[in-house]
Amino acid sequence: MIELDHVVKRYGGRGAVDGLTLDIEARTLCTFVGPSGCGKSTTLRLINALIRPDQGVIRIDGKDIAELKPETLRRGIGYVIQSIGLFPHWNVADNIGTVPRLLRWPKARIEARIDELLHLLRLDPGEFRTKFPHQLSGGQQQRVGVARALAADPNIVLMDEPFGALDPPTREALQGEIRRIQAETKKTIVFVTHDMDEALRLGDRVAVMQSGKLVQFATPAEILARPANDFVRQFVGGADMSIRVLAVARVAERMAPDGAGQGQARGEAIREDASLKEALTMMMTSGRDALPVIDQEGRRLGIIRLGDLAHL
Amino acid sequence: MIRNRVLFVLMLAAFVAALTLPFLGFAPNRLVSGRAISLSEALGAGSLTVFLACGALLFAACFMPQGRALHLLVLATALAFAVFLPLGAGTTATSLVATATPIARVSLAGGFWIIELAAVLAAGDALRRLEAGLALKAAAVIGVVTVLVFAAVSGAFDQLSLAKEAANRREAFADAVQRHGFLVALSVLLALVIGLPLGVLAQRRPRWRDLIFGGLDIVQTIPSIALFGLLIGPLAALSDAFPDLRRIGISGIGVAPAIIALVLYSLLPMARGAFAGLASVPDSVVETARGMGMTGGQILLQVEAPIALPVLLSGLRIVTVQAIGLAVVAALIGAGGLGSFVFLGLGQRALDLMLLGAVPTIFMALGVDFIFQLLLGIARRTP
Repeated sequence: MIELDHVVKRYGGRGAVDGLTLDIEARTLCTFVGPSGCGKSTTLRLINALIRPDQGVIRIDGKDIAELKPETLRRGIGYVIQSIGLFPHWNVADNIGTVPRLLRWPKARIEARIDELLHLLRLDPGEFRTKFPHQLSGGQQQRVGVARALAADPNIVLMDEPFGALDPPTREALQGEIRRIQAETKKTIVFVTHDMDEALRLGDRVAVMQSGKLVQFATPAEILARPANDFVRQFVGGADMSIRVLAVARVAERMAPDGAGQGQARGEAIREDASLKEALTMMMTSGRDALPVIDQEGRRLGIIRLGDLAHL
Repeated sequence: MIRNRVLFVLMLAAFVAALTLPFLGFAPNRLVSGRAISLSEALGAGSLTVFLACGALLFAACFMPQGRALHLLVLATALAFAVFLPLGAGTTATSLVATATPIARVSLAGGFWIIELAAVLAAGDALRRLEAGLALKAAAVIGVVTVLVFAAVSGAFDQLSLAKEAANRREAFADAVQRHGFLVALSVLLALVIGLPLGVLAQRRPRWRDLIFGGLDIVQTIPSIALFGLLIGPLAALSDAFPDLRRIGISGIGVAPAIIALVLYSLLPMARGAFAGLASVPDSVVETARGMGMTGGQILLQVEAPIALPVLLSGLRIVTVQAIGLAVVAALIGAGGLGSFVFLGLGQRALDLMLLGAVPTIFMALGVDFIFQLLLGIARRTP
C-alpha cells in the first residue's frame, strides 16, 4: 500500500502538490488524471523520491520512504515515462537487464528474466534481444520500456503518461497489455494520464486532480455516476458521459439470466466481461436488439437487450 | 560542363604550378640559392609521359558523368600521383648529385609541394564522394604511407636535401621527434585530467559555467608566444624560491612552462568537448536512469560517458592536433621538439632545415587526426 499523508511540494511559492492525502491499495491499478500542471506527475516523482516533499509523509507498506536510501527505494519500483528513455547505446536485452544488474542477480537468472519479459510484452526474444532502441518503432520501444520497469519484479510500477506519444491503435493495444499484465502479475500500478478515457478504462480507482489538490478519488463508475463537482463533471465530458459509461460498465451488470421471462436471443454471443460499448457495437453491426451472453468458458448465461443498455 | 569543380580547381592549380614554378632546386652547397629545375627537366621523357597521361585523365574526369566507378578511378590515379611524384623527385636528385660535388643540394621546390598537395586533396575528395567506409580510408592511407616508407628505407630519397639534413642531424632529429611527442602526450594527458572534470562541473552546475568558460576563453585569446613568455617570470621566481623545484626540472624556461602553456590552451576545447558531450545525452535517458535507482557515479560512467564519447573524442582530436602545432612554438623557450629546427632554419635562412621541423610536424598532426577519425568511426558504430 502507498500512503500519501498531507503531502506538499511547492515550486516558487506555488503549491504543485497542495496537501495531498490518499491511500493506494496494493495490487490495484490507480490512475491519476487532470489537466497539465495539476500536480499528477509531481505526485508520481514524489513516490520514488526523485523529488522530496516540503511537508507531509509518504509511506510504502507502512515505511516512511524518507528513511530509505533513494537508490534502494527506486530499485524496488518500476518507472516508465512518456519519452521512454531507453539507453541508446545498449541493446534491448541490456536495457531490460538494467535493474537486475544493479541488484547483482546471477547472470543466468537475468538472461532468463529478459526472455520471460519479452514474452510477456509479446516481443520475440530471438528477434528483439539484440536490437538497439533506434531500430524499434515507438510502440515496440515502449513495450521494452515497460519490460525494463518490470525486470526486477517490483511490487510497484509508476507510469507517467507512458502512451501519450503513441498513435491511437498502438496506445489501445498497450493499454490492453497493461490491464492484462496487471491481472496476471498483481502489481500495484500508479498510472498518470491527462486522458480521461484512458484513466477510466485502466483504473480500478481514479484520482482526479486540480491545482495540486485531490478533487475526487473513486471507481470509474462512481466518477461517471456521481461527479464530485462541476470540474469533474466537465472533465469527464458532459454530453459524452453516457458513452463513457458504456465503455466502463460490463455486460454482467445489466444482463438478465436465462429463465427470467426475457425470452431467448439467437446468433453470435457476447462474453459477460465485455463492455456495454462492445455489446452495443455488436448489436448495431449484426442488426439485432438482443444478444445471448456467455461466460469465459463459453457457457450460456442469459440475455442482454438494447433497452438494458439505456438504464443509467 | 564542369561536373567536379573541386577536382577541376585542384588540377588547374597543379597545372599552373607545373608550368610556372620550379619543381626542384639545385645548388652547389646549402648556403647559396640554386638553379631552378622545371618539371619537364626533372622527369625524363618516359616519366613525363606517364605524368601527363595521369594529369589528362584526372582533368577529363572533371567533365565526365560522375559515378562510383569514376570516383574509384580518380582515387587510384590521385594516389598513384601522390606516390609517384616523391619517387620521381628522389630519382632525379640521385642522378643530379652523381654529376656534382658531395655537398651539392637538391631541394624540393614550390612546384613539387603544390602538385603533391593537389594529388593528396584530390584523393581525399574522391574518398568523400565515394562515402568511403573506414576500411577503404585506412587502406588508402596505409597503402601510400607503406610505399613511401619502404622507398625511404631503401634510400630512394637519400639525395634530397631534406633527407640529407635529417641524416646529418640523425640523433638530434630523433630526439626532437621524441621530445615533441612527449610534450604533446603529457600536455594532452594533463588537459584530460583537468579539463574533463571542468566540463562535467560546467554541465552539472550552471552557475559555474560562465566562470569556467569565460576564464578559459581569455587564456585562448593570449597569443602563444606571449603566453610562453609570460610564464618565464613566475616560474623562474618560483624555482629561485624553492630550489627543490629546480631539481625536478621546473624553471623559467624549458619543458615546464611549455607544458603549462600547452595544457592551458588545451583546456578550453577539452572542457567544451566534455560539456557538449554530456549535453548531448537526452534528459529522458538520465531521468529513467535515476528513476531505476542508478547512483550518480553509475549514471556518469555507464550511461552519460558512452553516449558522450563521440563528441568527447572530437574535442580530444582538436586538442591533440592543436597541441602538435603549438608545441613548435615551445622551442622558443628552450623546450626542444621539432620547433627547434624551424627556428634554427629561420635564423640561418636554411629552408631545408625549417622543412625538417615543419614537415614531420604536419605528418604527426595528420597521423593523429587519422587515428582519431578511426576511433570516432568505431565509437559511432557501436551505438
